[in-house]
Amino acid sequence: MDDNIIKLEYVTFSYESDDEKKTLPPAVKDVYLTVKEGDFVAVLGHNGSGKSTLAKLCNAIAVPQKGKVFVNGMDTSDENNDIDIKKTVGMVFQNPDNQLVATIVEDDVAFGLENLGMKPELIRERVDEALKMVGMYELRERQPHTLSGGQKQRVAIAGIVAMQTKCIVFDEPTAMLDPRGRQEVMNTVKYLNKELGITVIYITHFMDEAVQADRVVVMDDGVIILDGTPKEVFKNAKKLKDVGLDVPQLTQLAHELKKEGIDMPDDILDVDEFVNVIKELI
Amino acid sequence: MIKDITIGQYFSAKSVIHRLDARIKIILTIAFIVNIFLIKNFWGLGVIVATLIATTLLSKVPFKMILKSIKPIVFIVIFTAVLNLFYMQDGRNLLPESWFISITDKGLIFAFFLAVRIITLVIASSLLTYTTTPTELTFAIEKLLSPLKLIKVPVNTFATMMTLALRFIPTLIEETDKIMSAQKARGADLETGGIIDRIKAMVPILIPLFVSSFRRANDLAFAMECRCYTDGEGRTRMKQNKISFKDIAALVIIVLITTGIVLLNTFFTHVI
Repeated sequence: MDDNIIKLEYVTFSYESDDEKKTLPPAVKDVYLTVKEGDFVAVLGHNGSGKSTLAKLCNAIAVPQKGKVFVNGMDTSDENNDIDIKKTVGMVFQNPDNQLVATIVEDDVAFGLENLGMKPELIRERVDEALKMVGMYELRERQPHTLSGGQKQRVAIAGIVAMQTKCIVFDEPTAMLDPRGRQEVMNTVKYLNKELGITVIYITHFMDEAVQADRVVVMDDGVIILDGTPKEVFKNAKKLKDVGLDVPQLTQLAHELKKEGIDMPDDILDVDEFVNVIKELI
Repeated sequence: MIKDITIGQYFSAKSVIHRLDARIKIILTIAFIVNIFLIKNFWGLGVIVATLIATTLLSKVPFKMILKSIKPIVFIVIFTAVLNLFYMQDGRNLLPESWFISITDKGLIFAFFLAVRIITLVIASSLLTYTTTPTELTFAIEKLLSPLKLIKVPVNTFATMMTLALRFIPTLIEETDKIMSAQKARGADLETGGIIDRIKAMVPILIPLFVSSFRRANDLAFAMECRCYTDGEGRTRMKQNKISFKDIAALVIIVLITTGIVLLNTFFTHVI
């Protein structure tokens, strides 16, 4: 058995069109991707690049027309695996409002466990634990609509964490949040990955968030165009620009300086690194 | 503004009535309403009114809020009472014979009973919603209806639907607010004109609201599927409400009251 928690084998997926005569171009084309357990993978791409579809393929919400997806060795096209796959791979969506189901925070976190038919005492234990992990325990009796976007998103994360899935797919969880909410969510995600060893697939179009992952996958027009560590990926400034993506601001600055004849490396990602390089130059 | 609309008119307080199990409260309310219609004389009426006043005091719901709950039905109460006053022509006429209308003593009593019955009925049921959160109510209704599962009624699905509806009321109100502002910013006139104009002006509000609701429903379905929701079969609940001593006591009290009213009906003359 290999240690890949998720494996996409030459997967093609296209959405059904309302008009039966026309077929829509595939959203994901012949993609091969493996994710190891414990990894933090960011998936970058602009709108329509197929990155959200990729997310849906990872936990059997979408089943590919061609190719196969394996979650922990389970084939997603087999309906008998459905519940087990969803117990392995959880998903957090973009709009925090549209994924909370209960009128009280703690009831919402309990929803998944209740669906699995667990014992009430065990549910209570796991819900409290999950709420503490995302730092929402004090607000457990609040109603979702009285919370901020970042808080709502953390409740949604707690709902998945409580189910103790090995892997969580985040589908642009910060796209509708303010900077503070984004920071809250990002910190939570990093905590889950580093401290609990949960595999994270993080779909985003924010470069600054992608930089914090262990591995970055860049998608364009349904195919993977770049795949590697953040340093490796963001070196390709030109290629990223061609598909309508930016590089992180500091990388950009370093590139501009290099153009002016200053000896700067291509792969600077954060402030500390940048400062060190500048110090050495001076 | 529009956000301030309270849902299910729950009044938060710490009282014995609030702490009663929601299932018991529903049963108590139904039993009490049956009693309201059992009474046949003033003794029974006294017992009903006294019980209701005692419950209201125990519940710590302010008198003002109780009045608020009767306000919408004042007209109906007066209308039915007056109608019955003239309709019921049995008994002794209280007005001079020469008048072309007549009001009888029986008619007067009948109208009075009717008015008191409607008012107590409304107060009793609003006490239920004042002292029980919508979540508890949903849970209780699910539990009470669970025998219907035997005849294949999807009680679980029904309960999930109710919870989701409650969950999305504030979200949709917020959304309506946003759309209204957006349409006003585009020059939509929502506040002037006759009733037809105003209804027409609602169309550009309702269409975006419907579209976004469907989108939400779609997202929500995915999110629920991701959290292993199937059809509510085999679900458990984190919060288990246990029937406690005070719930049993409340049941005993309502049984005593019902027995009392039946006895009062047998030993004293009926007035209606």
